[in-house]
Amino acid sequence: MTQLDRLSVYHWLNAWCIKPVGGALVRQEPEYILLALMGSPLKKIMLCSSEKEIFSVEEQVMVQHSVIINNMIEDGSYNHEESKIPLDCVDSKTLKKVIDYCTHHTHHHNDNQEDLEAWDAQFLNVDSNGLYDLLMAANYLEIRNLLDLIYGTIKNMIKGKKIDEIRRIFNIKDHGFTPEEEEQNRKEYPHFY
Amino acid sequence: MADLLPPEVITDILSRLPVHSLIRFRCTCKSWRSLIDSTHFILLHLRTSLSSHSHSTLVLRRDSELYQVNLGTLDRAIELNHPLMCYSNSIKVLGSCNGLLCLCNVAEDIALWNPNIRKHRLLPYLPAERRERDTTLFAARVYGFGYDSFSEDYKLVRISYFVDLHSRTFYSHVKLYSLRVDSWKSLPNMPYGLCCARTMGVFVGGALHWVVTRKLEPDQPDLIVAFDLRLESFSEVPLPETGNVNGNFEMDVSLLGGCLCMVEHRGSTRIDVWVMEEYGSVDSWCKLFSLTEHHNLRSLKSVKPLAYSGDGDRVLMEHDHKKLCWYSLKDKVVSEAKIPGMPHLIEATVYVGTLVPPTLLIKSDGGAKQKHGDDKGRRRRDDFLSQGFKLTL
Repeated sequence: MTQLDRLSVYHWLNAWCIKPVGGALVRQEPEYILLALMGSPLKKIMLCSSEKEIFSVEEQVMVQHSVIINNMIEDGSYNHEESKIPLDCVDSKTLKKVIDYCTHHTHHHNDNQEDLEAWDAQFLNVDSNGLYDLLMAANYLEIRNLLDLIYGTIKNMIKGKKIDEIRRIFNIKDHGFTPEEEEQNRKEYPHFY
Repeated sequence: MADLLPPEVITDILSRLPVHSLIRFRCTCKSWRSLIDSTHFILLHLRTSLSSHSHSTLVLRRDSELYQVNLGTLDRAIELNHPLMCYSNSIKVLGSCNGLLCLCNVAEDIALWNPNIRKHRLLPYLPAERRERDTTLFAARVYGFGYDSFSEDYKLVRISYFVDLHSRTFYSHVKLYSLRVDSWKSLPNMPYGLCCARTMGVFVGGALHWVVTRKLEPDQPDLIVAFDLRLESFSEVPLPETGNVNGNFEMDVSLLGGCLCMVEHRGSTRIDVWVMEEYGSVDSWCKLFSLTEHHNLRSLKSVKPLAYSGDGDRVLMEHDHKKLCWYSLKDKVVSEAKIPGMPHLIEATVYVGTLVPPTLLIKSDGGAKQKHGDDKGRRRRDDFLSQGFKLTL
């Protein structure tokens, strides 16, 4: 159903606002009727990036994926008419990507596994800064499946690497071991060295 | 520009790594070493490994040698140097739980061993029981190894089974080892007769399972007994209706995908494999598949399901304690699973790679004796949490 069709039906329902409940006709909010009819809610929420750019996204999409946003909607601290959710630690580029991820996974959750995995792989085809920003945003918003996806990618990247490379990747400048302690490390698990 | 990575992110990343990477990464820096060595992390890594099936490995036993094969790829068999003396005889795998293997040799030396971190612990020696009467014979000895989550203790059960062929009676001495007290104790006899001397206890649902029978009579059906590790008592597992009226179908138990699996041998022409999808619920038994002569198995003597393939479409099975084969649930065909460099005559056990040591783990909320360790642990944790890490890939 196109956006235009949805709006037409919305207006029509708004005019009538009726829904049969237990044999009687009861006034209902048009959004909920539409929800029942098409399963596609119109409620949108506003997310504000650190660069003060506003992104409008379906409430259902964000509530499904982000624990933080779900909690804010549930405990009523978010007012649909007036407020926007400020996300000061997420920049516009990253926020747009996060919204893309959540939207795709909500609307395509019935796709087969291979297609979803291919989409995810393409989604994570970013440089290291981009990956870092996505990781921090997913961690902050508590989007579990995106976090798992990013962790899986990082894990595969690092698991075979040498210690020097690990120190470089994680910017560990001083490992803090004395030479005796390094020797001790090797002695504890001799077969690994 | 990239800021510092919070510690919980580092912990999350590291908890997904295989053990050999973690052992190496211990040397990255002091904070990482104290994190990886901490009880909290060891248990987190264990939970992650158990739920993701990504660190599942096959351990193959041939005579006195053990080999490790990655379950996902089945590509290379790597020999493991286990800690027991073999005396030119074979060793037995008594069980596997949380990444610990329980092994025993012909002299009945028993060791708990984590092949990933290569730490082991020998158990106190338990002498064999003497037969009670001259008319009784020692028939079999089986073991079962598992974890009691209630008392946070690893336990090993030994059942020594004696039969009196004249009076057609039996008795089973039951002994229990607890890692927490590091000693054996005697338990009341098990009021059942063991049916299979080669199958060690299957650990699922907090209990160890063996196939037993109530009487030594030809028409007595096989049943599955469960030894609850917390209550330290036996009970019978409710079985599905399989049409086994005469009691002449043999049964075997195994673990498949974390569920209790029953293999029923219906004569010499068919083997049914059942899975109890929800432990304890008799209605959750479901027949997974049947093997018949059409499946090109030269003899249908014994089949032990081991694990599902990564995509869940196939079941890996040990056949006649000798070979490995795949059963495709979709196509309903059996194909041999050949592992390069691995000869025949093997027995297989599935285990998960973890950091769990064969000793008690000290939790940070322990008793008075552990208070000193607790302060050190808290200081180490605070040091770790006060730092952060930047990520540059």
